[in-house]
Amino acid sequence: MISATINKASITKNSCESDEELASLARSGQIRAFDELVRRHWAGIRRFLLGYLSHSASDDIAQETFLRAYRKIEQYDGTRPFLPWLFTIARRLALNEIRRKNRKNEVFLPDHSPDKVSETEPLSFGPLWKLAKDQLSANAYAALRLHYAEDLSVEDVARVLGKGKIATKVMLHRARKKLASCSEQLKENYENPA
Amino acid sequence: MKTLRKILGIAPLGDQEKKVLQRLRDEALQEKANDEFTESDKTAISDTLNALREKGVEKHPSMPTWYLSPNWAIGLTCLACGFLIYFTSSPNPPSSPKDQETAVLASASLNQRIQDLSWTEDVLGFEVPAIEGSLALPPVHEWIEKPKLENLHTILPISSSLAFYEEISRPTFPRIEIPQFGNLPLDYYLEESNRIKEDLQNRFDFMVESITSIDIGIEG
Repeated sequence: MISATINKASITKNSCESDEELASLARSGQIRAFDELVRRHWAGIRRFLLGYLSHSASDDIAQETFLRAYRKIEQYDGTRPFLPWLFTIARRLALNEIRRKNRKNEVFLPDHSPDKVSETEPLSFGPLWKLAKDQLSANAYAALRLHYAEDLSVEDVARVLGKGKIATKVMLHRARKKLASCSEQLKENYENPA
Repeated sequence: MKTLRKILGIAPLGDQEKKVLQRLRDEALQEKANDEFTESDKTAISDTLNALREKGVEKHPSMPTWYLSPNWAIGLTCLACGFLIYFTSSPNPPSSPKDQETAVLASASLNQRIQDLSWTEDVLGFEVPAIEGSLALPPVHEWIEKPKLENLHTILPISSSLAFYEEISRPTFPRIEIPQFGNLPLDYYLEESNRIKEDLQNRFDFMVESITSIDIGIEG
C-alpha cells in the first residue's frame, strides 16, 4: 500500500526525464516511472475533464484514464508525444461516461454557478479559465486547455478531439473571440465575486 | 478574408485577443505553480497507483511475437511470383494415358469407332433406308446456273438453320395491321364505278330480275 505522502514537492530520481522517456521506462516494466507520470499530469487531466463532467465524475474518470493508459502502455508509440495519447484516452472515457449517464437518463448538471464556494473544487482555477469552462462548449474548452495550458500543437489538439486541423483552428478562434467579448462578465462574476 | 487569415494564423491577432491569450497562459502557469494536492487527490492518486500494481500491463493480443523484415517479405513475394509465372507459362504437359485413348478414338474413322463401341449395335441394328439419288443429292447445277434467291433457303440447310435461329431469337410481337392511309373517297368512287361498269356490261339483267322481286309495301 502506497502511503499518502504524494505532493508536488516530492522529487523522484525520474523527475528530470521527459514524458516519452518515462513512458518508455514504464513499457519496460518500471512502474515508478509511470507513478511520476501520474503525479505530473493528474491535475491537468482533471482540469481537462471538468469541461465534460462534474467534479466527482472527473475524479473517477481521471483515475480510470491512468489505469487504462498503464494497461495499454504497450500500444503507446514511443516515437510520438505521450500527452496527446493520454488526453485522447481521457476524452474517450469522458464521452463514454456521458453516454452511459444519458442511457440511464441521468442529468448531468455541470457546476456553472460562479458564486458557489469552491470547497469541493480541489484544483485551483484561474478566473478566465473558469469563465471559459462555464461559457464555452466542452470541445472548445478542451481545445483551449490543450493548446494554451498543456502546450499541445494544433495538430495534436485536432488528433485528441478527433477533428481536422482547420476545424480546430476555427474552434480556437471562436473561443478566443467569445472570451474577449465576455470581459465584463469576467470582471463582475469571476474576478470580484460577491 | 480577414477572419479567415486570423483563423489560419496568418493575420495578427487583435489587441483584445492577444490579451486573452496572454491571460490564459499566465493563469495556466499560475495553476500549475499553485497545484497542491488535496487529501482527496492524494487518496485518488494512491488508489490509482495501487491498482496499477495489481492489474499490471495488458498484453495486447494483436502484438506479433515475431517480426519479418521487409526485405525478407519482398524476397518471398518475388519468389512466389516467379514460381507462379513458371508454372503458368510452361508448355502443355504430356497427356495422360486416358487422354491418349480418347485421342486415338477421335482420329479413327467413324465406322471404326462405331464398331469399337459395342453398345451401338442395338442402336444401329435397323436398316438405314436408301435415299433415292435425286433426293439425296442437292440440285447442284440448277441452283448454280439459275439461282432462285427466294428458294435458296430450301436448298441450303445452313440458311434454313440460320433463318430458324433468327426466328426463334427474335421476340414475337403480335401482328398489328397498320391501316394504310389513302384517298378514301377516290377509292370508294373507283370501286363504285367498277361495279356500275360491270352492271352495265351485264345489260341490266340483274336489275330486271331484281325489279320483279321488289315488293313495295305500300298500303293505302
